[in-house]
Amino acid sequence: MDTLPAFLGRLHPLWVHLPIGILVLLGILELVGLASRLPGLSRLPALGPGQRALVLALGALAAAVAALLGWMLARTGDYDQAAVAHHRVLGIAAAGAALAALAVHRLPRVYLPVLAVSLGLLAAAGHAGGSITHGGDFLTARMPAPLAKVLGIAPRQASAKPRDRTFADAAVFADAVQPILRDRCVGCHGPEKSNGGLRLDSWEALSKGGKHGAVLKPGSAGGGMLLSRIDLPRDEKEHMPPRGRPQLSDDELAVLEWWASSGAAPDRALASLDLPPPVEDVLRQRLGGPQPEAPPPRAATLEQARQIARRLGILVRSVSPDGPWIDVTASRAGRAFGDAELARLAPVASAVQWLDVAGTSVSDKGMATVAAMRSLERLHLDGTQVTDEGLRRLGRLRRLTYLNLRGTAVTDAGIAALRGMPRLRSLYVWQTAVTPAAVEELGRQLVDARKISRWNAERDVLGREIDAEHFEGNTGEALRIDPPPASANPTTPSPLPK
Amino acid sequence: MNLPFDPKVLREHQVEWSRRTFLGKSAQALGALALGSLLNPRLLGAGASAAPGPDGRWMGCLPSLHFPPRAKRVIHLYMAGGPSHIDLLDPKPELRRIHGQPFPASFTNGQQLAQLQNTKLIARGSTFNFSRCGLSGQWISDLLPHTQQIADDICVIRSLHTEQINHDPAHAFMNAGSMVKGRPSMGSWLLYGLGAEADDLPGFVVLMSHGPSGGEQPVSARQWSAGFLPGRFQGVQFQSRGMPVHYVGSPDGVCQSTQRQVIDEIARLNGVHEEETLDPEIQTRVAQYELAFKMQTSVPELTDLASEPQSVRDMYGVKEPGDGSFASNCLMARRMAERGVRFIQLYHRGWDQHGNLDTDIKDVCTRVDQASAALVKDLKQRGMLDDTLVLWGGEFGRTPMGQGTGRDHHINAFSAWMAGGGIRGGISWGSTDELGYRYIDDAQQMHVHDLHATMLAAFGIDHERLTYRFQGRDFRLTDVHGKIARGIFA
Repeated sequence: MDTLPAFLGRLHPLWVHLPIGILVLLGILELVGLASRLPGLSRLPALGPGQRALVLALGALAAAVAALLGWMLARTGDYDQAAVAHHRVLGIAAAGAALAALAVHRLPRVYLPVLAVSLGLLAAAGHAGGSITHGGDFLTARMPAPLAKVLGIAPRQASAKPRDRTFADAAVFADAVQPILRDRCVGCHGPEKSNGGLRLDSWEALSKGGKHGAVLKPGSAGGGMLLSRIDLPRDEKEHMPPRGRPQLSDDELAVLEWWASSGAAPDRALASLDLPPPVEDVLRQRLGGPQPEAPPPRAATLEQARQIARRLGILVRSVSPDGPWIDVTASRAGRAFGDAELARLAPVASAVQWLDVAGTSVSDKGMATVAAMRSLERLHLDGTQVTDEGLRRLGRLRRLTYLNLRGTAVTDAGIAALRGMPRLRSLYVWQTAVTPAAVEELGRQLVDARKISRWNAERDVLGREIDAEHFEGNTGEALRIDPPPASANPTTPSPLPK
Repeated sequence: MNLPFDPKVLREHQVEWSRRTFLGKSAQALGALALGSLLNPRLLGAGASAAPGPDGRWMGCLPSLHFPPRAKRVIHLYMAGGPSHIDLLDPKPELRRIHGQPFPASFTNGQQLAQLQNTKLIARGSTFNFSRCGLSGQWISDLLPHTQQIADDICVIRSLHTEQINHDPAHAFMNAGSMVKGRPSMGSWLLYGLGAEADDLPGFVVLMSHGPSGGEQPVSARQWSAGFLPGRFQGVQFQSRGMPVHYVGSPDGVCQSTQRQVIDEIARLNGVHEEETLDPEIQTRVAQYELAFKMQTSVPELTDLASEPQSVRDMYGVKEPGDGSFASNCLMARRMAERGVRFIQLYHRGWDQHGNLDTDIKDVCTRVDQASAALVKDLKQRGMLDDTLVLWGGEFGRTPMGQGTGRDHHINAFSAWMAGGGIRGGISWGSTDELGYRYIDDAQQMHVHDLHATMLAAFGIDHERLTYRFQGRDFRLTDVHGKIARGIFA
């Protein structure tokens, strides 16, 4: 029979509207009755004592039943206990005041004030009850500022202007994730109300988790309970945000999913991360700041690139059937190719995806041209005159995945300048003064530490090796020849042929 | 100023292009065009954008790539003769268990065999140990201790299968996707599609090394033929011993400027001849003269292996540079790759162990293993492995059944490894049944056509869209087959 109180308790939110309706109606009728005493309004109806007693009795009875149902619901313990206690006091007081009004309804001077108090308590109890399910700032959150000011309600944290950050200087949690949580989750998982013991209004509270433990498993495929609850089908009971509440938009979901599965540290700068392009687009839009540039027109760019290549005696190849992207190989031109020749590529710089100037006389000065190649993915600078100074100019090549610096004069200081290249996965520094420690440090900054499986420091080889997650792992087994079995089986010829 | 709509010019034009002159001229023009396209199908072909670059250089027939490219060049370490997958790359404990017993007929019934046809088939387990290597735990035979060290860089393909069971047709199948003579080899297709980076070396170079006896089957020059493609795309064999290219130096008393004048004059005369005959092979001729002239300086520089530091030579195990050994050829291959050669094919013969497998395979492994692994390591430390595709393998495998003290040819399954060029290292691709007899026919099976399709895909080429019209039909390297093994790419 335990389920019966739990079931009846759930009728409380429905039932409470009955006493409210009856008592408020009674209040209105009493006001009309008072008004009928005024000269000229005598045609208005006034309640007789019998009607008043009947309505009051119904209202008080309904209030008492509501309190009883509320008590049953509170016993299930699904709600914030402090808020429930507050509601309970007000609710019982309201029901008690209604009964008191019934008791004194024949004494008009006492009865009317008692009824007024009862209605006041009813309003307060109703608000307290609403706050349990909707959150304490449900009314005030969208309140027009002048009204809130008159009422002396402090502007809520959330309604404050979002941090004035653009994509370039935004941090992962505070600028990308927190605004979404604030709009969609903090109402029920915040300072006023923390359903399930979970608060999502700060990184500290979030990482603490709720009564079912941690909600975020950085780097795991599903991203932890936070995401798995959001990902449930909408009509599922456990789905978050609950049915009837504003749901996450696809864009918001994309950001949260990327964030939960990337395991990115909360204070990392967004700009330093390798964001999937759709997520980056969403964040750029939400945060403002420079939007991604549209690629240059294909046909014109290719034609221009071919003309430049012909004049310089270098090779240019279109590497995409639908984009303007080109692969520029100048390494065969040798020392005759220098900074001045490189600068002639400036008109098509934004289309260059691969650039090979290995073994040419390109130097730091030429890096200004290279820095303008925003789409660059592979860059061969091996055997050039480039130094740390030149590398510092390349810091904003965010798409670079491959950089070859073999046989150049770069040092650890230059390597440190590559931090702004979130996609860099292959860095070649053989025959340079770069130390393994510097490369390792860079790797830690660029890639999640758990993804770095090994640095190959075999002899003086320094190649970065990462993302070994697909490896099944070496179990150290070996397949050894068993000693030939003694000729137990006469049908078997000699064990192993010579 | 003769503006096009100047009334005077317009009137002249109208007079010149009267109805009669129009009909007369178009008939002539159409006839010439038709003749021209008969002689040179590329004139009107779909890929006619194949414009030669500056100074007549071939820039490839593809106006742009079909996929994002990963590789820029291939080094094919061609283990000619049919290396035994059972003993090198495909461990089979079950085969070892039934060693010496009759080979289960359920595997072999109705199947084509080479020399073992109609003999009693006896299972023959490998007599060599296999180890799990690297972080990835790839299985590699202890016969290849150096290859074991690069286990995490290579992808071992165990599900290869081919259609030809004898050496020469199988070589042709591996190179050209067909045993029929006159088909272009994959190096020629790549050159035709992409052109070469180098203009002072051939884009497709072949080197040959051999085992101790020197008595292996010859590999015929048709294996690097351009087939029906223009002759300029043919592979060029360098001598691996002594002077790589004969007569590359000028004779006494001829200086470079004289040579230049001679070549320019010959090119002019060839041009005259070509205007008359429209024979595309004349362009090949002109290009070869030009290339040969440039090779007079580039080849001595390329083949100067003595300039390599001793440490590098030791890494490859080069005893004497230019001694014709596989090690020396591997070092040369790396130097060619650096200089923009598109397709480098290194044949090493001596894998055809019908008998004496246990001793002979050991010998050939010691000749090949160290240099193969050193090549991968060397490319890697130079940052070249990212865009250099290395393929190590033969034309077929060897039977899990014994043939006396050796193994016979086998086409239902064989192994190879690939590295670099965007291939994911440390994985194996495909598998064979428990006896290593037949590939498992799943998504990772790899017919030679599939291998070709995958290799072209590494270069950003859709194998279905690299075609050449010959005798009225569009031909491809993969004929009408080929499936790209996308999962093999990182």
